[in-house]
Amino acid sequence: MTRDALVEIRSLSIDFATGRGAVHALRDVNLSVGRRRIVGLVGESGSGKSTLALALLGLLPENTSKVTGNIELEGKNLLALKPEQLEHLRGRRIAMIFQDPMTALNPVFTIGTQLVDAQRNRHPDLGRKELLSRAAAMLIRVGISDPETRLAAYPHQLSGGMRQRVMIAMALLCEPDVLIADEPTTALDVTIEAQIVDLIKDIQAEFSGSIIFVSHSLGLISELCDEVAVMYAGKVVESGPTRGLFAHPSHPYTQALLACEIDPDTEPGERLVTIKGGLPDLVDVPSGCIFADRCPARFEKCSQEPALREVAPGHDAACWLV
Amino acid sequence: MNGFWSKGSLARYGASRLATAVLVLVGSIALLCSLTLIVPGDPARILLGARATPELVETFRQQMGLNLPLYERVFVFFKHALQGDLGTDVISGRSVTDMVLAALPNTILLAVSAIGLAVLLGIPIGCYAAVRPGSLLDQVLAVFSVSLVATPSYVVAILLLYFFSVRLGWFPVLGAGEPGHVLDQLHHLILPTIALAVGWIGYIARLVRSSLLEVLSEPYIRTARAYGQPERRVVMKYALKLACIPTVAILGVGIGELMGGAVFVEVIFNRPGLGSLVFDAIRVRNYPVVQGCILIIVAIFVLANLLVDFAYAWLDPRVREALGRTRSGGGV
Amino acid sequence: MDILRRIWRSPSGRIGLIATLLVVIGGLAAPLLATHMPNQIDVAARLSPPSATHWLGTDQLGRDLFSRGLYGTRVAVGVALAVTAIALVIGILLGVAAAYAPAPIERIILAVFDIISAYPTLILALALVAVLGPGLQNIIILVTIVFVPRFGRIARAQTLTIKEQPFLEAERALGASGGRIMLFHVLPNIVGPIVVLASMNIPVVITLEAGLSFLGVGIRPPLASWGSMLFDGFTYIGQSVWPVLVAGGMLTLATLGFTLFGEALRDAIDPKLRREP
Repeated sequence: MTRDALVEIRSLSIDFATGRGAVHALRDVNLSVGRRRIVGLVGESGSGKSTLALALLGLLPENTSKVTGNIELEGKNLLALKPEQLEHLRGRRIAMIFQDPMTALNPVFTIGTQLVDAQRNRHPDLGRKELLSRAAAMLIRVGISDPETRLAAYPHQLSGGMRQRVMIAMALLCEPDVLIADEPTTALDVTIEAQIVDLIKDIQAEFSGSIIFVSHSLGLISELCDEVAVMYAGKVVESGPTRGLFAHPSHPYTQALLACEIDPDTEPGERLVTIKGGLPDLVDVPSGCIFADRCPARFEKCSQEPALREVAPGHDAACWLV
Repeated sequence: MNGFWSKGSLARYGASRLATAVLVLVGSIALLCSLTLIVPGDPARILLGARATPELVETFRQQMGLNLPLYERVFVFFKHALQGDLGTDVISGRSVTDMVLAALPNTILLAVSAIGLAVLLGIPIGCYAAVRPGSLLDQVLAVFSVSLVATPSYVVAILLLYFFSVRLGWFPVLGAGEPGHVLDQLHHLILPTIALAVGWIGYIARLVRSSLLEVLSEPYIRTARAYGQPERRVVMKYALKLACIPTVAILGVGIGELMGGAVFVEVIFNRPGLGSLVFDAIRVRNYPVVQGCILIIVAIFVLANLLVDFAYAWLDPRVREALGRTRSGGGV
Repeated sequence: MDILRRIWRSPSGRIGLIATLLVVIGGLAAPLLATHMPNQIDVAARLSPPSATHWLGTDQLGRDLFSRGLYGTRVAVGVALAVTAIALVIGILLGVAAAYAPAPIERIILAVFDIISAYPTLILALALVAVLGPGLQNIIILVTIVFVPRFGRIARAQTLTIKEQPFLEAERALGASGGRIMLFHVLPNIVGPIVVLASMNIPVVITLEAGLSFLGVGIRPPLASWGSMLFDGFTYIGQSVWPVLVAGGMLTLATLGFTLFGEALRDAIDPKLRREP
């Protein structure tokens, strides 16, 4: 799937220091995002997908103890950049939509002020007035009527769905090359979720950058993405074009995920619970295949760690069965 | 800020707050009056001493309004107070209103300059310590702020007086300076201001430090950073406004403490002011003067708390709305 | 013991504990440690700096500052403990009563608390002195009045939250009387936060009492109190700084010690209380 990649992640590993020891949040992750492509990252919470998103922005938490590998944006390694250089990239080339719109906006500043300040990196030459009118136009674009009132409002005066639209507007105002959406609908209820998904699809048509869409829902990914990477316990276990991967899921974990998703009786939150067992301990990572403990198809060979292998063109899976 | 005054609900909130304030004022004077009833001994006799004739005591009782029943005393006091008459100093025969008005500007000047100094130094120090945790300043702050808060203001005042006025002679020892002579008055103001502000500098700095550290780990700060906003703007604009809110909240209590501290500082530096006036009156049990001063001090305290509440609402739009909706804004 | 160990673990808690112990032992053992009688006058050696006979110097009457300071500890800590204990008992009674009483009585209790709290602390104390007059006993009474609402409010709030707990409902259903419930269930549950508040209150009382005595309306001479020692020292500051340094130093050591100890105790008992300013 490496064809004219905009973002290229190579063997990225990240550890966090905790009281119990180093948590290996990401281990040897490879991912490439092509221009104008939408790549989905899917996995349950704790699988490392949000860590990956934050690593792209250089906003890893303070207890990050080890980062190895490369994150390249057009061939430039972001991990080697100085803080000021990273700051220059954020909100200009990379923008992010956060998971919880309730806490992602500052409660004591108006929407207008926050939208204006978010654009300053992108458009340093424009004044507050121009930035405000750009913001107003973008609010209409993301489906918020009466933008002048909204710009003067404070976050708590808007509904959750409206706030997420504001976050999307904020990201789009920066005209980024890479847009990261970290579970943008998880905190919203189902009807609002559908509206936001429609909005993202709508924007996608005219958006010229690439999108990394992080979600725990395979359904959303299949609706929105060109390519998918399935993550489990800090590793990519399967990746490939959406259509091929959904038609022929090769890793038992992906298969289980899909099975849960199809079952209409499970509540959204329960989806992944139906795979029996829990995530392995990321401090003391067991050797061998990381999914072996929960895998229905486990056999002797699983005590060794499988590498990603090509199942079909551009479609890889890390399982001894493929 | 256009929604501020136009919101009818906030005006309602203000009105109810004012009503509570008036109740507290009346209650505080009633408390004072009723205590004179409970306590054995007649204030007039205590004031005049044991050798006073019964006739003289009776005249004083009438002048002090002690012969009236409690509710009437409170009522008469407030009726006169509303007309600008706080009573008459039974010893000198001067109007208490005049005495208070003469003293008030000095005390307000002292309190405002002390709060100003505490805020102007406390907030930047707290910010710096929060942005660079573990730095030299942070460690110095950790040690000094506790010691400064623990040292009573009168001890600080005496030591300042000793070192800078008595030993070094840099500052005048006594008084508030010549009236009309601004520079001289400023010169007289410096040490008292520092004495009053020192504990608060440490307290505010510590408060700003801890709340800023807390705010800096909030998701919305991550958002600001994710959009490449310079760290300066993230801290100074997006985080500081929120971090100041607890500081504003304690300023209400702080003004009360400051009014108390002003008594010591005014007595030690021999500055004319409300504090030294009430102190002199209490020493000789000059009851009407005490009553008038207490009313004004409590009024200032209540008013300051009112202002703090409004400042709080102005800083935090969430509070603004919550206050507009419900009456009980007490629980912060 | 566990709590003491937790206090000891933090450096500031350790300093607080040591300073508090120094002050308390100094006060208790004042008659043993003092080199002179606290009121013994030695005019020949008035306002002298520290020497072999007068370890910390003398005041304007030639009284030994070290000995007077030690006896002052008894007054300061004694008043602080007495006030805090009485205010605590009255506060808990009123607070629990307010939580259980019918609405009108609750409102009256709370209104009285509000009115008392509407005064700046020192101003209220001065106003009460104007009515009651100075002296040890009156100081204890009036400072107690100042601090009752603090305990009353927290006792009421804690009682209200505990009152709603299911285990009390069960107890009541089993036929336990109100008094029994209050004694065995409500009181033990509100003790933690109140002990913390009480320990944080001690340095405040010490400062207030010394302040009143400094102003000449508190503890009256010849009883040695840090506040009146400070005032005497202040009067003669042009001639000797030692009286001020000794009285101010002991006072600060005590308030600092109790403050640090109180903070450490709070963190050890209930870290959640920390958020409150």
